[in-house]
Amino acid sequence: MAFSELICQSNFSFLLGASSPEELVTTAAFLNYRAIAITDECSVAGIVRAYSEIKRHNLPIQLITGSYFSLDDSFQCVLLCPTKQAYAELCRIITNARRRSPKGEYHLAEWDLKSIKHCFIIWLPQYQNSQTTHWAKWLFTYHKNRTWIAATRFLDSWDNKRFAVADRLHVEFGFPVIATSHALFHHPDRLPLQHVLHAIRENTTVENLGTRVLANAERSLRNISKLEKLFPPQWLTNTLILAKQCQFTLDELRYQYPAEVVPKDMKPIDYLRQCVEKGIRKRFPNGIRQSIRAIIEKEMQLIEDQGYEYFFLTIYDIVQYAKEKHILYQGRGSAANSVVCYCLEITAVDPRQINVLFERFISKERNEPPDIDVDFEHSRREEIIQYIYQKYGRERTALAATVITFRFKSAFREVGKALGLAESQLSYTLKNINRRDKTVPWKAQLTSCGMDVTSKKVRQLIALVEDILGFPRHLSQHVGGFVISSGPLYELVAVENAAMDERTVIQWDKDDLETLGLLKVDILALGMLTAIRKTFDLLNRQYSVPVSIPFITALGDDPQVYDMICKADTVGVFQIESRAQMTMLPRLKPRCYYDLVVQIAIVRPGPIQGEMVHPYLLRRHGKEKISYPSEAVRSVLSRTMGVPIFQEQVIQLAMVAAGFSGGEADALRRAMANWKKSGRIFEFKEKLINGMTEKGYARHFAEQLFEQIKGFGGYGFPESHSASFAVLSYVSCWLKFYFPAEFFIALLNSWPMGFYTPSQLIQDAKRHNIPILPVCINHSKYDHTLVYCKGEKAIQLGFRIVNGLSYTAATQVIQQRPTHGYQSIQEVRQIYNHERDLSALASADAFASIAGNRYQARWAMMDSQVSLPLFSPGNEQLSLSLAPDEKDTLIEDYASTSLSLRTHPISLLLKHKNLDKFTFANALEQKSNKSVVHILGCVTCRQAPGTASGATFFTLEDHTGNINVVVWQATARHQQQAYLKSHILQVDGILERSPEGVTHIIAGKLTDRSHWLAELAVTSRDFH
Amino acid sequence: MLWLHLHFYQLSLEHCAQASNSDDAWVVYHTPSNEIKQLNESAKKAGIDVGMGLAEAAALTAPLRIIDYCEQTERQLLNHLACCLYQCAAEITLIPPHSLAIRIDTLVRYYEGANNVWFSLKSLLNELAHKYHFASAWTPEAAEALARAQINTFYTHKDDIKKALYHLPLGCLLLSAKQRHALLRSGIKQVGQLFELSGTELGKRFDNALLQYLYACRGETYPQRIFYHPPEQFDDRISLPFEIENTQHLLPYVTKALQRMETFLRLRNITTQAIQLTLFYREANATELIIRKSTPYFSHSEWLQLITLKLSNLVLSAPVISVQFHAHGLEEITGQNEDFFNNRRHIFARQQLAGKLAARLGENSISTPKWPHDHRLHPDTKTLTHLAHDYQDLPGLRLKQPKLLSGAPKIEFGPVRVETAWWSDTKHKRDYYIAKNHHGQRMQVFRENNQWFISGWYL
Repeated sequence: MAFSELICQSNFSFLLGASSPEELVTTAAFLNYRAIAITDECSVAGIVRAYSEIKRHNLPIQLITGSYFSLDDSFQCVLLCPTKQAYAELCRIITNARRRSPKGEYHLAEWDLKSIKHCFIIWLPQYQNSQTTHWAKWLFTYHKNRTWIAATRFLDSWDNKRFAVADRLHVEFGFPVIATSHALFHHPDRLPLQHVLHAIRENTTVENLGTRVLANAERSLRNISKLEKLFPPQWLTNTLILAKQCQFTLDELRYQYPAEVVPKDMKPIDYLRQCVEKGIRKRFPNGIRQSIRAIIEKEMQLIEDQGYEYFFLTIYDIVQYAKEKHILYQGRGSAANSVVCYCLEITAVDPRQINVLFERFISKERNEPPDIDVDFEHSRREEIIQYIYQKYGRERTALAATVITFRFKSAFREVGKALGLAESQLSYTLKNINRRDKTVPWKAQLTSCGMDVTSKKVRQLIALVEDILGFPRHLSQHVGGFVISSGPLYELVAVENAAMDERTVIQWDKDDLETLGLLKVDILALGMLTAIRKTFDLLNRQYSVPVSIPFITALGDDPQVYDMICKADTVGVFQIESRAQMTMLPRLKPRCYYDLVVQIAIVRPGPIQGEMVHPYLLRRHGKEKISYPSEAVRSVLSRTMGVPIFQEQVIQLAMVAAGFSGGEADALRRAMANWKKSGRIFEFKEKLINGMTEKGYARHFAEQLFEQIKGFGGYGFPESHSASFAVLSYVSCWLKFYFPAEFFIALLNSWPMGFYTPSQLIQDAKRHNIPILPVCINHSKYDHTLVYCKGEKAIQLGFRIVNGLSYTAATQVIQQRPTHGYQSIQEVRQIYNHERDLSALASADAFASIAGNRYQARWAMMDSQVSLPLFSPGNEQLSLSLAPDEKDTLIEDYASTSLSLRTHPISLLLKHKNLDKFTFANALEQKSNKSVVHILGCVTCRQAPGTASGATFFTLEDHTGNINVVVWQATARHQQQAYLKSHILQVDGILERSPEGVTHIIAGKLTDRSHWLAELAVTSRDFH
Repeated sequence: MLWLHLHFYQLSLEHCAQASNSDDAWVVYHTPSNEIKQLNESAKKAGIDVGMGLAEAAALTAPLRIIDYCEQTERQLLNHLACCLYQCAAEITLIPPHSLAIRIDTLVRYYEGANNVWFSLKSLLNELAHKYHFASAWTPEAAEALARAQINTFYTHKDDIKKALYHLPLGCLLLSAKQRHALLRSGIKQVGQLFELSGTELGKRFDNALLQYLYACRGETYPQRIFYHPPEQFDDRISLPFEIENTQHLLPYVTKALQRMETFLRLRNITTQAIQLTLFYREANATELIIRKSTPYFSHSEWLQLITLKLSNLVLSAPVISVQFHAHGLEEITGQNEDFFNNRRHIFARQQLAGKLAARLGENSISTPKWPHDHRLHPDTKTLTHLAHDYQDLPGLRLKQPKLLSGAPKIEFGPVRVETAWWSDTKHKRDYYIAKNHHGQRMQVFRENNQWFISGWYL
């Protein structure tokens, strides 16, 4: 006897299904089911995963697409798709039901069901509902020939009744009956997890669910011999009959590009060529070299062969709009760095500067979609999104989804609550588990948090947390991946509301889209582009020669700019500003554009875990001979001195050195992207290592390569991305070197962005001798502005830095400012009397010029009678004679603007305490290597990168500069309080200086000195 | 005027019999705010402080004993204190949940000096064995501010009071967070700085309530007070600091309550004939016990003997979370309280009947039908009536222990598979059937270890 399971809900029926679509299809195939339908509730979100699993393992099972719906308490059904039209119909129904409701919910209308013309309906009649006959008649009237009755047997008290109802409906109305387990999980072992999910859904404990939980594990995929005992043979046979009619597969989905990007009378390739030729004239005004022309022709041919003209033209259209609106952008990704994209002005990376071959990424053999991400100014990306919506209409445009899954903290808390553990205990445990401590796994840390790991409940907690990790929780919107189609999108995939108003997301994520070969356009936001554009604006107001990215890149590599980079004077610039990057700069010593490309890619988990950094540095500085195991490897690695740095190189190595086919290499690339979630990467380990050793490569090299592949997981950095980023890095460095005042102003005006807080940026600006003028009610604008102070360029801080001040207040105060400036606080209050805003201004000491100190300003502001008509403003006497002392001023400065221009906390401490034993940042150079030092500073950054084998990098800021501190895991573990909580930290440690002059303090003892300035809350950017 | 403010800062801790003098660290913890409210000496030594979060406190010492903070309990305890202090002073005003103020100046005449009043009160307070902070001043508001600063001085001279008040930090005044914030942000950090500001200046900036309060603190106005009146009835419900499973552990709380009752009765010159003692559980219905004496009585020791006896026979069905005492049949001591048969019928007749039946037939013969709470089809303490919807055919009579079935049953329906309670100690996996025996009796059966068992009978 054969069987097909036609009702099956995966974990994409959130908090209900307890198995992934992959597990369901694999088990169904193992049990010899003929077919399986994935029918998540009002959703097709899990179907692609099932499809992809079947393809990947060639499973001998038919996949049917469907969805489960509940109209109300009296009617539930499943719709199955026999044809492509039925699939479009299903997506339309899901979309309509979802779009009517807030995110995460749906509301099915009777009309939706009435409108069905193509889908099959499997009705799940209720055995104790008075409405059953009504619905039977309704279905008989409207869907007589496409209705089937689902008969379930759950081995509970009601089996007989359910069978009787199914039988009666069959006899009375002629609907055929199918047997089903209405599966919620693939194996009976998942019953506890299902109970836990149920408890989470109802926000209670499994115990309190009482009889509402599933009574047994019969909602799993059961073996056929058991089903034969449970159901009449005809009902089993009927499943096959229905399954056979459901011939629709996801292969049939074909993406139709929006046609309007091509003029009506032109072929897409002709129009693309026309655009490229136009671009050639612009990009290569002095004529194009033959070799580049040849590449363009090759690329054009490939684009035509693969039919990607519309894709390129869609992006071209978007960037043209951005250009028109003066929105800065930069394309990146494999296809983005083609010469065609350079000509289409999608990217500014000159192909002459970089050896990225387009063909390598759009491969005919692999048939993978081209990858172009376009970054726009973060403050103006919304304009681009609105343009897309306007141009293509909301029906044809939606964002890709991101599946939000259970992460450790949420899993631990939710499962713990479901098992009845006290919330306070769970919170306490979560607070005290150090997940960054790789040497002691979280399970082992439970004991120290007071949990008895031998007890049954805690063991269950551990097992269930492991099970639930990675389970989808809900769908969210992708950061910027748009899917645009030629017709209504809901015919291709179901669409639902996102949390943001007027945003819709499709029910598939980027991996699903890739599986089905559907293209998405990534419209991303990048803060640095905003900063660069704002710097350009400031410069173009001062100088007649317009400054732009092409202008700067055309000037070629500037040795002075590279000198600055080599000194790691890179606070605020793009990409090479982080602690790790700054430590690497003096060692790698970049001197040209391609060095920057390498620099950006090398400080990444991939090369670090693959231990490629050190060999590269040795070879770069001529301390190690550059050698290649073979000619094939030379072709791949020659530009990086024989050391694999980029993700593409690793993939290529797998092909040339381990004999991977194109398809396998592509599978490897995809496994690499999310190996931590799926662990599929290990399927390739043996093949890679054996393949390489067979071809004569050293096993050690092969193993290192595999480690590197693992390191790329999730953080992989292809050369093409690095190349695009390097352009922005260089441009930002160039701006910082030649126009630091303008650059810092633009950075501060683009905040939040980048790695540093305004306070840190301003400290750096001060170190570059730029005068900073405080916020002033009569001089500040909303943004920070460039002013001249004693003939020097200076930064006048703007109102945007004032914490708690609204934009409306700031603009009103500025717009109505009298030409001679405000004379008193009461004058300001006459114009804008909103207590919170004015208080924010007073706190920021913005009234210093007209109302004395902060205390006096606030006191004056609190006067409620002045706003009454009889009291005229102006002549009030200061009735308060108090003035804040230096410490209070500092605290107020930090509280109101997160920075102080007057004094640094450490210099304030210096006045009140004897700090002779401490060495400050500027005196560290005089200390010898390996000497013991005592340092003190505000903690401005704590970083614990996964690659650093448990080390945490602290940045301590004192009044003379920044100090880098390395805290090893054991040190941190023994001094947890100081490690985690200090604002002002004393470190007693050993100074270590590399031959390149990079200085670190290796922490020995950490002492929390926050109480010295107890109230001072210097914000630290922790654990990025 | 002269007022004394008493701030009892660890009422809940003292209420817990074991906590005060324990070597272990004990804290009273307020869950919603995640704050330690009170703590004993051991906890203090371990570095724990009031206001700390639980996680931080727990990290400092082990074991840490935790009592949940309950404002209601504190209010009740404060009422008891007021009741006791009423012996010494009549003008007491309660400042719940844990402070009270006593007007002293009106008593000076009776005690011949303010210090004598204070001495008497102090003696009484020592007897009550509660810790407190105190201060005296010209108004309850000023006294409270001083007591909040833990001045612990009984002032009688105005200059001293003024001096002490002026040096207080602003935080000692009862200002709203917003007001305090506004003043601090204007550089006003001490009470003296605030007092120096003119009323007009303050009036422009703050509401009348604040001004009134400040005037009261400065001793310029005297807001009216509602004084404490002792209750007519003795009805005392005490939340226990933790769940108590053993009746012996209830006794310290019972003793304290009886002592309070004695004070209550003595002050009124009355006696009580019966005490209704109610034990409350978290989920189960409360147990009500009536303890009677043939002759009315007031001494706590007499009542304690009786209650100890009563409790020694009582097996608690669940941990007790609070106890209520109610004194019934209060009578003035007149020597004519001999109506032995009065008040025999009351609402507890059902329990009495059950008690009688149990006494006659034996406890094992009395059972109350209860539906199981989950799929296990086991008798359970929790009851839920909706189970009838989940199970169609439950047997009317369930056996406490399944009984071995001899011979093969004739299965009529089944299996009903139950696989649940994996989270508890008794994981349950069983197939139930409805079967008939050769007498035609229907029964619920299951099979285990190749044998059939009867778990219930259909009636």
